[in-house]
Amino acid sequence: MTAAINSGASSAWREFWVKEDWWAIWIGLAIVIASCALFWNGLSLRWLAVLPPKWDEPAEIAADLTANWVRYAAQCLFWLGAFGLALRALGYKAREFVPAFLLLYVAAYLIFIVGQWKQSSAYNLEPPLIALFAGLVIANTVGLPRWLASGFRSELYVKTGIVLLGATVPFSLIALAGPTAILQASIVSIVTFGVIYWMALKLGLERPFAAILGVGGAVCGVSGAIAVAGAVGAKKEDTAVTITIVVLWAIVMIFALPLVSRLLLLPTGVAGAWIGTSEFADAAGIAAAQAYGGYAGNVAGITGNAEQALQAFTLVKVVGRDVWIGIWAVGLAILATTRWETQSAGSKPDAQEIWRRFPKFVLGFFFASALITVATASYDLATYNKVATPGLIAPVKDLRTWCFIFCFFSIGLTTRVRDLAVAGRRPVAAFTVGVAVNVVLGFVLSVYVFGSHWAALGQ
Amino acid sequence: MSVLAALRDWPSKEDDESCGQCAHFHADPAALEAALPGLAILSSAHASVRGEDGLCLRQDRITNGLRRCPDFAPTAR
Repeated sequence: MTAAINSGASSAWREFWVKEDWWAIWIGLAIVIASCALFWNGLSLRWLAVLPPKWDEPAEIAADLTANWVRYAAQCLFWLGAFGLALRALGYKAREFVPAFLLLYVAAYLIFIVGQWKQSSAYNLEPPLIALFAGLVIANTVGLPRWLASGFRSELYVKTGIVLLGATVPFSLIALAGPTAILQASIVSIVTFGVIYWMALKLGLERPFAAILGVGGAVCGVSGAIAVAGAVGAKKEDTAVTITIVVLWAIVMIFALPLVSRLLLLPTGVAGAWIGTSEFADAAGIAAAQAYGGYAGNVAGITGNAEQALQAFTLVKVVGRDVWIGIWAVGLAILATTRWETQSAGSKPDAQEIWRRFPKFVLGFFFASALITVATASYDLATYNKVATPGLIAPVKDLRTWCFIFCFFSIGLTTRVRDLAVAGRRPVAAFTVGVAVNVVLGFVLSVYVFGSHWAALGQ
Repeated sequence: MSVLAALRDWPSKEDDESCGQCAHFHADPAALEAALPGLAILSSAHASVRGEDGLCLRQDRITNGLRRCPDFAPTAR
């Protein structure tokens, strides 16, 4: 372990450059503001937001690269500068990040090409699943030098992508669908937490361990577990085991939820809501939702559009579950301090923890949505679709897709199964029971109780 | 301890003898990610949700850097 670097008296200002949530906001909002500024001056961010075209023959890709290689190079440099600045501020070395990111960009380009093949859906070649699978195979077979992990920061990429996603979600949609998302997510979160916590205690696990397992399954996966671990003073070993269980189940769900949704031909909005309820991490859920959204228009019987899957997922998972992590942490800290006599390292309950632990990148999602909503407020629907969508929204959406591909490939490349802590049968059993309840309850709420709401999201 | 007593007693910022100032406490994100394999796959030690948490090497627990405990040991400066 490195020498102790204690946190010091962290001022509120310091958080703006030492937490990746804020860097995701700075990068995401800079893109949205630039897009608005260019649009208002009769220009567009489209030149930078290049991506491979849909293709049938390889010659089409070669022609695109010949015509647009300067745009790809400029975009790569842009991402390199933006993420490089963020990661330098977070303490990473440029000499490690730069080669890692160049590798990531080239891989993302190749993944895009596979995903843009017109027959890709027929073979289940959805870019998120390809990226994840390829990364997993590389990481667990030949492997890559560990220092390259400096460039494989999946959370920074997915948070930036979620901020950019805000630009494609009208604020009115958040206001209309938000309460349903919060209600659905709250029901499932509370029930899932209760089941995992109760099962864990029944199986003889300590309360702090039961709590981090419960929050890991019910709220926001590894992030939830680590947030509550500090609040209740969980053992390092128990926290590592929780991370293992959450990561492995989350990866299973990335493949399982879109597969089952496809077999049942769920509308994209409904599947997105189910994934938002039953996936454990933002990055994993975005991968599943984007993969399923890719079936819209390509698989007979699946109604809706790709954006509905992502929007429903984000509303349920990010707005409905993630933003409440501070309240879970404070509530469990109160329990740990006042009711759990056995543990000694739980933090005193502190209402300010709700803000300190708030996933700040969500603010960027709201700001981006508000900015675009204000910027396009004077347009009627026809003008919006004809002018604002191609000139303002679509470039942001395409840059968002790049962020997500960076994220998915990074998840695969950093998941080295042999490095994870070994999980015993009891925590696995407790968590798995919670997963079963979560998946069934999430399905019932998404398909039967709120199904019509999610199927018509944004229409 | 009662809930009210706990609420009255809460710390709102790090003081000179909080865990964040203790020699046993490690909050460096790289060290935390090394100590918790898999943390960086679907989350990050740089995330806001971590707050001021770090690893207490004496108790081998994740703990909030704003709390205090009897095992406090000042860091060498």
